[in-house]
Amino acid sequence: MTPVIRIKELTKSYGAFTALDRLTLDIAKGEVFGFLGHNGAGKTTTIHILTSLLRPTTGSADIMGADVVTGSMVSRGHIGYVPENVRLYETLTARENLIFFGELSGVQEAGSRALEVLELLECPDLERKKIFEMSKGQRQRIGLAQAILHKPSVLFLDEPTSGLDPLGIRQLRNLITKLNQQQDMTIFMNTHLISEVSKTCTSIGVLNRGKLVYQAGIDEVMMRFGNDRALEDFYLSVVPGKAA
Amino acid sequence: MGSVSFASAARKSAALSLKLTYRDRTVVLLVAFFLVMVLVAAYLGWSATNTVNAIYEKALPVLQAQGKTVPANPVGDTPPLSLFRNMVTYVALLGGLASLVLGYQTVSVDRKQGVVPLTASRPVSVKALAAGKIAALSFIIIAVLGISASINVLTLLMLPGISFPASDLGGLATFYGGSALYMLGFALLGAWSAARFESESLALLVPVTAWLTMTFIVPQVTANIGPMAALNPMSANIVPPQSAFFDFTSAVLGPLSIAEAYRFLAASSLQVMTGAGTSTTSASALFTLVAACLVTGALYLRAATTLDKSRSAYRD
Repeated sequence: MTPVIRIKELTKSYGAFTALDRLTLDIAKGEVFGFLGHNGAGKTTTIHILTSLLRPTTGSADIMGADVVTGSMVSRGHIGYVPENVRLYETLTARENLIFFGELSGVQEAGSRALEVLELLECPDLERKKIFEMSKGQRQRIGLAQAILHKPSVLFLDEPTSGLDPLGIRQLRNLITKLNQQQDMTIFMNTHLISEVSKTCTSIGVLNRGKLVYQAGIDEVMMRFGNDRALEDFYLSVVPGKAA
Repeated sequence: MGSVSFASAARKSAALSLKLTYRDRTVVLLVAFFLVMVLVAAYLGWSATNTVNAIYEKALPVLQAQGKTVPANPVGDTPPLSLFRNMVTYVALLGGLASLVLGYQTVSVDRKQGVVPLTASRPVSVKALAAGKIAALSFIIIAVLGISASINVLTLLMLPGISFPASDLGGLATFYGGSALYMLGFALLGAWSAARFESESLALLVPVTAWLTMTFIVPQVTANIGPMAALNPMSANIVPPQSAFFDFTSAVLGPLSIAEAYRFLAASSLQVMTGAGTSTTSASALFTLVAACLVTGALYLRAATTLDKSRSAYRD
């Protein structure tokens, strides 16, 4: 099967510092891919390149066959993106934000689609609420809503559970599973929470100082390590030392 | 979903900018203050004319009783548009500064609220979004000046003893056209700075310094016009001192000074030029203002395109 995300020898350098070092990775359609690594390992840099926010120094990547540099207008049409600590226009309501971002993604009838998505995310009551009046968890939902409004094939989530309380984390986990199974979205999720990976992902990759040091399907991982604790021990063994 | 056309993305961006500006109290207050000053300028013109009329009416019977020659009412000799010369000061000071803030705010809001990664990861051209912001800035400036012009026309029509010939509409249109270009130039300067610098305070300080330099320092260097006199449209009548220094500075910096160009255009269109003054012509003044808008517009588009979308937040 042709991978939905194909990354080949991707490198990003800032002067002498190499943030991403010849990363090669394929993600198949329908996967929920958990990208693990310490802070500064290069996970966000990878997402920034895949969402065309950043140009790689060398190497290439494509989304659904469209190169993220030379065909970025096409590749960007296939993706949805939720940055870490998602921010939206504070003085606008959820509906106004969703309509704007939806229309920028070419959504027709963005108003009715916005309500549809808010219902899918079980928060239609937030429609008329301004962003500055919302809690962290509510903002995260609207952030997710803006990313899936246009029914993207691939959804990028950068540390989606960051700052959420346990209930918020559980709700988000359920939403990710729902989007993957009901909307047929391929999900690429940056995280450093081992417990989230084992509960949500279908495959994982571990990044250490810009290099991919491990990649496997979650079944294989769980068969090999058995539980979260063992997986955590393994993770710490492949990414030793201080976080960058 | 495919990519969104340039025109469509620009329209969405313009509509959003207008909405955000409307909800930004600081900008709305600045615009409201500007309009209040327009009313003040209209009142001052109306009040001064009324005072002269009242004095003339009182003096008339006295002069007639004394059998002296009665001179014509001086109000009748005053070019009607010259009553709005205070407007030049308000546009140069308040209009310029409000436009800077407006341009800065329209662009910096995306960086301050952290939405650049969300817009930049959409299938739209960054230039289209920036063009939309330019359209929104132009719309706001034209709307504000349109209201100002309406207030001016109404004032003229209500003034006793003042006739407002239709031919003066051209002068008023030229004045407001020049004012729009002047304000848009500063709005685009603010927009460029908001997109260009990594520090928020620097992004606001740089265009304000440029505005201060253009408005107060360049006229002094090129024509020995003092900082306060530089705001007065009558200073367009001042002939630069004859010296090698002023010959050189006015030749080199003169064409770059949009404040001087604006003052000249305003003075000639509001009929306060006495015929003396600099070698500037209305055409060259207009050219300077248009060129300033084109240059600042191009700088803004470039800054918006080259902004690092992955690290767009200000660092302070």
